[in-house]
Amino acid sequence: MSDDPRGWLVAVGRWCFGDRRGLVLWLGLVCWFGLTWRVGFFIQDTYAVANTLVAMANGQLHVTELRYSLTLGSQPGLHQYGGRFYGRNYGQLALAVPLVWALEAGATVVAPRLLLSGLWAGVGLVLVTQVAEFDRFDRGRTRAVGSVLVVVLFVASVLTATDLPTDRLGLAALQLSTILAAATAGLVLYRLVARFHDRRAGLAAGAALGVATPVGFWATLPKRHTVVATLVLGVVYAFAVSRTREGDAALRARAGAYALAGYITWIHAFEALFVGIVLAAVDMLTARDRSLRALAVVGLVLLLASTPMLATNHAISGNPAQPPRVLPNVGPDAEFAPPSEDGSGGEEPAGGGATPEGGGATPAGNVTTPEPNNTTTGGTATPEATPAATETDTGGDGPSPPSLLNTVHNGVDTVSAFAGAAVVRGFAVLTQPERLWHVFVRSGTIPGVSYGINDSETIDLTVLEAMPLLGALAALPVLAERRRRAAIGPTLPTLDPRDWRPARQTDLLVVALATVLTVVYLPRLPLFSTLTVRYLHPVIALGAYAVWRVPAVRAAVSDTRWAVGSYLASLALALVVLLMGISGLELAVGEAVQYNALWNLAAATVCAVGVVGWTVSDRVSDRFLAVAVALPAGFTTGYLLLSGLVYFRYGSYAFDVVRVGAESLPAL
Amino acid sequence: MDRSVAAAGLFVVFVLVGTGPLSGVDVTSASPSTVGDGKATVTDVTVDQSELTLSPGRFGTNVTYLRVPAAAVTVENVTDRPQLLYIVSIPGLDVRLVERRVVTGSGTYRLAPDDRAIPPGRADGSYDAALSVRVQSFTTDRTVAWTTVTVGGRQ
Repeated sequence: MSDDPRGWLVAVGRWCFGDRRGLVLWLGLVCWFGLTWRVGFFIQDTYAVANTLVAMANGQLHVTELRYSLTLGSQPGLHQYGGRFYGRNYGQLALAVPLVWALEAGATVVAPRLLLSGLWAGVGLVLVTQVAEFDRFDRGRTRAVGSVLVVVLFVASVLTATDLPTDRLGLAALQLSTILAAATAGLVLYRLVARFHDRRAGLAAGAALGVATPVGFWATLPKRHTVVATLVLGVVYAFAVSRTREGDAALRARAGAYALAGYITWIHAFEALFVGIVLAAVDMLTARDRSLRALAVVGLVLLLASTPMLATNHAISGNPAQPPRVLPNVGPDAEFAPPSEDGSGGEEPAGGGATPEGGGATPAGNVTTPEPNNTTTGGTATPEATPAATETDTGGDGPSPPSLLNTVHNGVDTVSAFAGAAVVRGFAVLTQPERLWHVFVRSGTIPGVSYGINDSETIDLTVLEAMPLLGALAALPVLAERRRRAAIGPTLPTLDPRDWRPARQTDLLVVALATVLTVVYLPRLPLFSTLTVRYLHPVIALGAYAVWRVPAVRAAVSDTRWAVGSYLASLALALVVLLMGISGLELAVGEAVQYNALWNLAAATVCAVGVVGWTVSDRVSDRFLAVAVALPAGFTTGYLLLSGLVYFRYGSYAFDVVRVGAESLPAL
Repeated sequence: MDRSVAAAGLFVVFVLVGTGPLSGVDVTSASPSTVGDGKATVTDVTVDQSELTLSPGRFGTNVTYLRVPAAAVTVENVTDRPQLLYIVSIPGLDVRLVERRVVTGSGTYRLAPDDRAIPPGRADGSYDAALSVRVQSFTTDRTVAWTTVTVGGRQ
């Protein structure tokens, strides 16, 4: 590595982003996600998570301050042990803690709202300088035009800026962390697809992940799903790198995959368990190096990466195998906050001060009727697919720490009770086609789903409705049949997975991960408030990889100009028909979402026909194919934009210039 | 770094610091939903009562929708930041919709509550609805328009 600071910076940049395209993609996605960013609470249990982040930023795990609160007293997502209240997803929050510190430090010299605008402008200017370096652009003109554009947007944001209380910066930091994670997911997919194919396909894959999949929807909603999806993609990427390298480089990448899987335990141990098991199984099946040294290295790395989770669990309950998620929930009547040892706590909850008609914490005029544990604030209530704390007989009042044997025993019990049952029940769901139809294909009002919690609005999409690009996977049976025929042809492929090509080995990992992470959540699906089947968010990210492994999809972007033009035309068409529907048909929110869903399904059908047609016939042109693939992408972008600007109202736009623009759109 | 980018960056930094806590210059305004003191005189309220209907959900939504007409409220003599409340109350359906809008000057304001989804089978008859408009702030709260209407299902 160079001693020159600039050389060192370039080396770090290359390690992180791969190349300039990766950096531009990442910056562009950050700007894109910021467009519809609203500082506010869309899902109710974000209150508890945000309050836990505040606690962590103050150097403690237990919550003593309800900085964010809809009602007095407890809030869903808090757990108790030993008289203290704890949150969950600590691994996700740990990533956001530095952002809390940075934003709060910045707010000492810059007004909070303008701080966000300044960050957006800063990212925009860096993006301009990087885009200007591409050969196809005139550097000087691009910089000049781009700088003017950024300054105009910044000035517009300043002129329209409304007050943002400083205490909202913790929430903003939490949202910023998932924005960065979602952008990183796009970057990782770019590098993954580019590794096996070309940078054009990689760039299209990464961009599409942000603008044409639910990853864009969840980027500013600070749930764990975005971070876990990013880490799962990271596991796949590190695995792919390990299969394309030799010696210690391969082992380092392999260890990286285990490190990322281990980190997931700190966010959601249930999901991490399955990611770890699948990774280990596929790794052992396909690894050329199964030496004791290699096994020791990856095992040690997995243990080290799980250490933060184990340490956190131990610090909370004294039991490293007991995540806070399985501790007893704080009841609705609990008194907040319990007195701590140092006498702190017991502070009055902030936010939601007395205003007429109870409007202080009610965003955007929405009216909700608070109910214990499952209500919303202009957004949506949230169920959590987690082991129920009441099913355990541990925790609660803080018994003495268990022995190592008990710890292991408890861990095994937890795995067998929850993980084993989830797998068995998940496979049972595979025999229920109607249920699968409502999870994967068509939603509408799904029988048996409790919509009452969200004012009876059918705002939940299926997997295909949320990501119609998956229609391209209709070509998989054709491709599989071709492979089968090749397998009985004169050139017999090897049956030993260790001799497979790296791409095929990676495909095996992706299929295994997607299958297992789907099956274990099927017993909980379909479910209200999942919006885009968010429990399958990592699977959807893996699906995005699968889409770009289809040759027809890559062929669709072979002519960049035509592909981009087709996408922009599709987006324009989507916005016209969706906005005309909203204003002309006077749709309610549930109708609008379902109207959008039906268009998405139509676009998915066109995509499937185009991709299958191109795969089986020479008569389908690349240009028609490009249109067919662009259509679902355009309609999904339309859904993302309208979700941010029209469908769902909560909080305040991070950049008020967007608010002013949104006011000119048809309202529901 | 190119001059244009550097100039833009410096401008951004200058504005940020120049309008921050250290300078004492605050360029931000109150949130559009922030209520304050003050009052307003309502001179006209227009609501098309015939648009208050019950109708089936479309596009696969198996619910009945209470479609609510918008209210156009004309106000004068506004002081500080009072808010207008447009309240649609139907006790028979256990529905109470409240749309609020903070007003800062004279003019006509449109208040349009979201339609309300009602589970199937719970809105098969006719129901009495009360529509009202209130002016409210920390120092005043008075109803300026009130009417009743019957809403029945068109299944």
